[in-house]
Order: sequence, then structure tokens, then C-alpha cells
Amino acid sequence: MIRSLSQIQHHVQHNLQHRDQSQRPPRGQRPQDRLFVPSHTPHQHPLIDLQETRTLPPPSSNELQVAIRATGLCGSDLHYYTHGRNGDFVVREPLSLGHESAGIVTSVGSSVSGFSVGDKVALEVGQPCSDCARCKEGRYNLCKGMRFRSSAKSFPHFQGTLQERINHPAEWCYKLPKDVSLEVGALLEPLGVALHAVRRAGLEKGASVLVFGAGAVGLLCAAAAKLRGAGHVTIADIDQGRVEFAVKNKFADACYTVPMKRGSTTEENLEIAKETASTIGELKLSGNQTVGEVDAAFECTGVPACVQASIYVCWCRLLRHILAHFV
Amino acid sequence: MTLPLGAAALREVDLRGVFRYSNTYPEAVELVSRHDPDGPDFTKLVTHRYKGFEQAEKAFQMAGRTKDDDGKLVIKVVIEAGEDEP
Repeated sequence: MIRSLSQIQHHVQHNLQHRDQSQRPPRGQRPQDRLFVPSHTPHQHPLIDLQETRTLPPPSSNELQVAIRATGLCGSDLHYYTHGRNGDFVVREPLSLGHESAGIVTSVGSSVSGFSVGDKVALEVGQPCSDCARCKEGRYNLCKGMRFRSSAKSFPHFQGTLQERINHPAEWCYKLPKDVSLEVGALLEPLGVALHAVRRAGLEKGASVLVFGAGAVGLLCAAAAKLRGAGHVTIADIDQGRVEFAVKNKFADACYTVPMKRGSTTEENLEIAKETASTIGELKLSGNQTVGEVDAAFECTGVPACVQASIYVCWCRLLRHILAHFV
Repeated sequence: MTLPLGAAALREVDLRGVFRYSNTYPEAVELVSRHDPDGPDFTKLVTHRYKGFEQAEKAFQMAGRTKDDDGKLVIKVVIEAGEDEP
């Protein structure tokens, strides 16, 4: 038996327990592991039970069995945890959360090569159909048949990584070098969003970049832009501590704390956005240079004022509206 | 959301959506393996760690905050399990 951590509603939990019992194979055919699941919908139900036990079969021939060692929590996990839904996707059965994960290989499927027990691996948890037009052009993130661990979009839900062990196709596991920790391995998932954004921006070497939002995705966008050759990265957020963190830890070269200001009409708000853009443009860089108009803005807040300001601060180039929400 | 599309058009600003990622893991592994002292320190992003599922509820509560009780920033909360790294 393994334990998992999931989030469910009471009646659904009963249904699952019933079904699990009926599907459980005789003892002895499967390794006895534990798995863990948060079951929490505070707005509708009291806290029920945060843990659940399930049976994990041995890995299939193309799979690795991985002991999950680190899982980062993301905004979508928090939405499911707090509201039992993320946008339109409602939890319909017990759901283990977590999709930013790394762990250690504990068992290798019979047809898998290149992996050994004890390897450190990061997991890519989205499983596209591999057959549709989007998949065939390499944009499998847009696959309509995508099953993504911890998302309630597909049903039965594809269970998240807050489990002690999972079986996962080897082709979606990536070995980590010895000097990369498992918690940094877990960061590869949100870093993937950032890297994808930077690729979509087609940044040229030396490009000037503005990032709105200094949360995890914003910081990773700044980092990915820098590491892929951006000449200068400015980060802006309403939280001074966050933007200072970004500069201190070399995620960005310069920062700006956006004042909280809101107009009462659309016109006023657009004026405020223009002001924000112009103030950012006047920020001093090293020497006598200013930020000016940037080549690309990465909008990682979803706040209208920041999206608007992103448009005003860009010149002849590209605005990236980062929609990193997991749906 | 009202966007100044006229301003975007006149400056030839493209709006591009970004939804998750594709084919990023190998390069992401390379980026975090650089350990460049002049580059971003990824290890700093994990600000809060919780050991074991027993602490998962605390982890979720912390992930919903911007600062902890000591005023420290909350950026990435990680739930760890199992033994220490080999």
C-alpha cells in the first residue's frame, strides 16, 4: 500500500474507497507501499482526512517507479486545495495534488534502458496523446487529449505527485546530475514554463527585457531570459521585498516597485499604465543609460494594469503574456 | 480586461500566449547545472520546506501567503519526503 495526499469531497471519497476495494488485487501480487492524499474543501466541507492509502502495482514495461522526494506547490494546487476547483475544472474524485516533482528511481520497467535504481530524476507530468496535429508539430502542450497530473481537467483525474511512489513513463523522466538537488529538480517544471516563454519571445542576444511579477514564475522568466543571453533584465512588482530579492540573487539586473494606484475609469487606468511604462523606461542602468523601451515584456501577474503597461513599454517587438495557469 | 490594442498595433507589439511548455526539460536541466556565480541562484527560490505528508497542510497554508510569521518572503514551498539525498 502507498499513501497519497489528495483533495476530495466527502461523498466522492466514499465512492472511491468502495471502488478501490473492488479493484484491489489479492495481497502478495503487489508491493506493499504507502501513498498520501489531501482531502480538503473547507468552503464546502469540514476537513475530512488528509491521507489515503492506495495500492501501487509494479511499473509497466515502459515505466519507472519513482520515490517522490520533493514536490513544489503551485498556484493551481492551492486553488484545488482551497476551492476544490481551478477555474472551470472541478475535482470530481479524490485527487492527489502536486506536479513539480523529482525523486529517486526505485524500480525500472523491463523494456526501459538508460535508467538505474538510485538515479535522481525530474518528472514531466503531462502526458499528451502524441498523435494529434499539435503533438506532431511538437507543441504537445496544446494537445486536447493532454492528461496532466494533479489537474481535474481529464477524468478519471490523473493523480498528482504527492504520493510516496508513482509509476511514470520513462520517456517523461529526466536524469539529474549529481550536483543538482532534488528540490531544484522539482523547480524544472515551473522553469519549463519560463523557458517556453523565453523561446516564444525569440529573444535575441543582448535583448532588453521587462518582467512583471516577481513570484516564482516571474523570477524564473527573468532567470531564463538572462541565461539565454538577454542583455538586461528589469523586474517589477508591487512588493519591494520581492524585486529586491530578485536583484540580490541575480535573477534580474534592475528592479522597480510598482505603486498601488487604481483609476475609476478605463481611460484613467490606461493613463496609469502609461505612467508606469514611462517611469520604468526612465530607470537608470549602469553608466548613463536608462531602461527605455524594452524588446520583450513577460507579463506574469495577470493584473490588467501590468498587461497594459507591458504594451506601452515594448517597442517594435514582442509582448509575452504568460498564462502559466494549469488547467 | 481592456487592452490598448491600438497602441500594440502601432508599435508592432505581438501578444503571445504561453501555456505550460513543451520539450523544455533537457535545456532546463542544463540551465540549473551551470552553477554560474554571476547567474541566478535557483536554490534560493525554495524558501520553505516541509518534511513528510504530515506537514502537508501547513505547507499548503504557507503557500497561500506572501510572507511568513518572521516576515520572510514565501516564494516556493516544497514538500519533501523520504530520507535525505544519497
